[in-house]
Amino acid sequence: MKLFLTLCTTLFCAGLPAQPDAHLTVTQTIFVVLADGENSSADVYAYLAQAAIGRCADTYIVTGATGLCAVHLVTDQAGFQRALATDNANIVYDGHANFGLGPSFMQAHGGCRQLSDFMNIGEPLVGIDWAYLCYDQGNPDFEIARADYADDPSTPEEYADAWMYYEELPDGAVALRYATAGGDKRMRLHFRRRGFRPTRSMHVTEEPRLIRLVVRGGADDLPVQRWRRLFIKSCYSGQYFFNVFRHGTFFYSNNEVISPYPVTAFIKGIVDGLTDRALCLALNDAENAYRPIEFPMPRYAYYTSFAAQEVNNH
Amino acid sequence: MTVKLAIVAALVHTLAAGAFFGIFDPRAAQIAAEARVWTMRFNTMGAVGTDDCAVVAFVRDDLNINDPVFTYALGCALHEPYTEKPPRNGISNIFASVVFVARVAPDKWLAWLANYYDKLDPRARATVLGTMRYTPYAESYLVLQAALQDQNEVPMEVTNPIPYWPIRVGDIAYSWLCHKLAEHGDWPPAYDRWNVISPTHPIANRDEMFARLNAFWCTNSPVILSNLPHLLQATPPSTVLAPATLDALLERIRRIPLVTNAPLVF
Repeated sequence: MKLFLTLCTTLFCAGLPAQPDAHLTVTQTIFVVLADGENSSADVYAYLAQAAIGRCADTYIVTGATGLCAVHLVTDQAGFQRALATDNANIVYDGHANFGLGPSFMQAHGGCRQLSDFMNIGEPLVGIDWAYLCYDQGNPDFEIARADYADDPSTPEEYADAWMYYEELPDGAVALRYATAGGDKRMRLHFRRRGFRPTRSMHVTEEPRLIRLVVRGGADDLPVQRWRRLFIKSCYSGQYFFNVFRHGTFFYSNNEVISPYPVTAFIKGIVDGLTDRALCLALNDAENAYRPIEFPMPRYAYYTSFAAQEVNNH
Repeated sequence: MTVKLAIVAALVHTLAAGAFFGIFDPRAAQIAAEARVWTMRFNTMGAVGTDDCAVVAFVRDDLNINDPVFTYALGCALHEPYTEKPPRNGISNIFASVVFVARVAPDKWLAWLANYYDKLDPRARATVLGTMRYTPYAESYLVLQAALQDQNEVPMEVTNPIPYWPIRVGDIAYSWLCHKLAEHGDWPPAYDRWNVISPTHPIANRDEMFARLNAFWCTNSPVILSNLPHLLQATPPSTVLAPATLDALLERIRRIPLVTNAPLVF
């Protein structure tokens, strides 16, 4: 389906109409979401400076294999929500996964201070490493309210005792999940407080193994999803968001990722009209073209939900 | 006078390149272009205690490669401008060397592997396997398939999430073999979800993925391999890679001792 893009200010590039309110027909809409922790912007800007034939504010026009493509650069939560709710949009997100809480766009404001400062698009309960969020990901004032701890209401004698279990994903990997009630193969967690600050604490199993601080994340900020392709370039985005993004084709990592190149590779892939498979191969090539410290290995996979397949087949 | 000097310099340059390639040899431009890609890598090598000449000597002499084409291409790479400095420790010499040899002189590369592969540690073996994606030859598939059995753990940085299981050399061979099969359209699209093994794949699930790949490979490998170029049948015939060389390499890969029952790590 072709989308119509209205450029409401003057386009200032050769080959495009130079009057206000010009109408362009674009065949692909691409949203590039740059959140806290991203490292792709320089590469993306370099590509757009070379490839774009026109620009209006943060929207660039690129000539693609099947027509014009609109590339929107987004750096806030409202923009990401708009992207997810756009019909047939192609979205690439670069930034921290924040242990599955969701993106954050608070770097310019000193980081997130409470759970609601994140864009909550995760599982109902999320296991986080509080110290890492504070000191490694730029949220030094992040605190968790008492009501935000996960707790089993059937055991009032013990405070904040969530349950943990493994969920097997369709690609054969497993992800940690949490619940407030027991069940098959679930492990009871106990709250252990360490230090003086109330959030310097962890949930642990009976065995003395460090687990996570389990908090109420949720997906309150997730809009109605209408996108077509979504690529989350964050470490272990598959483990964190697999159940959330079951709409179209979800490109994710199941490992640590560091390269600044896959975001541009995704944009180029959409512009060039690559298939989902070819797009995923290109993402892996882009990751390994940079991977400077460890051995090369594929780190991205993709999954098309059955609902999306049915929509595409019709 | 200046113009004359420039013309003479251009002629000398052309003749020098022509000594290697012939002026109209299409390989010249192709190899020079590929060499540029590796500028960053070789500059990184230079930044960790060597200089350009030492790098050339290392690759040429230690790898016993005296091919003028390779030497010229390496020279092109070294004299490109510095474009980017990778973070942390940079990449290893072995990665830069092996990848470049794989790209420029794949027959010599396999011969080199035959001599050194079983002397490498798991991380270096994983690095070598990663270079297989740069060559279209059928022999690279055979190397990856043989390496599936290598279950030695590769040390890697895993900060998150928990739990995770160690990555083994064979897991990386699996991922690259799937990558190559998918790239050439031989791998069923329905299998794409199992293309990558990560630290979050339990060992039991990996065993299922290996079984699926092996079953596919047993059934389809004759057709797949017959449609690929073979180094052993390359024209003009390679003077370096003999059938026995490939057999020796595969035998050395299979001789890597197995480690089983990799534990769950918290």
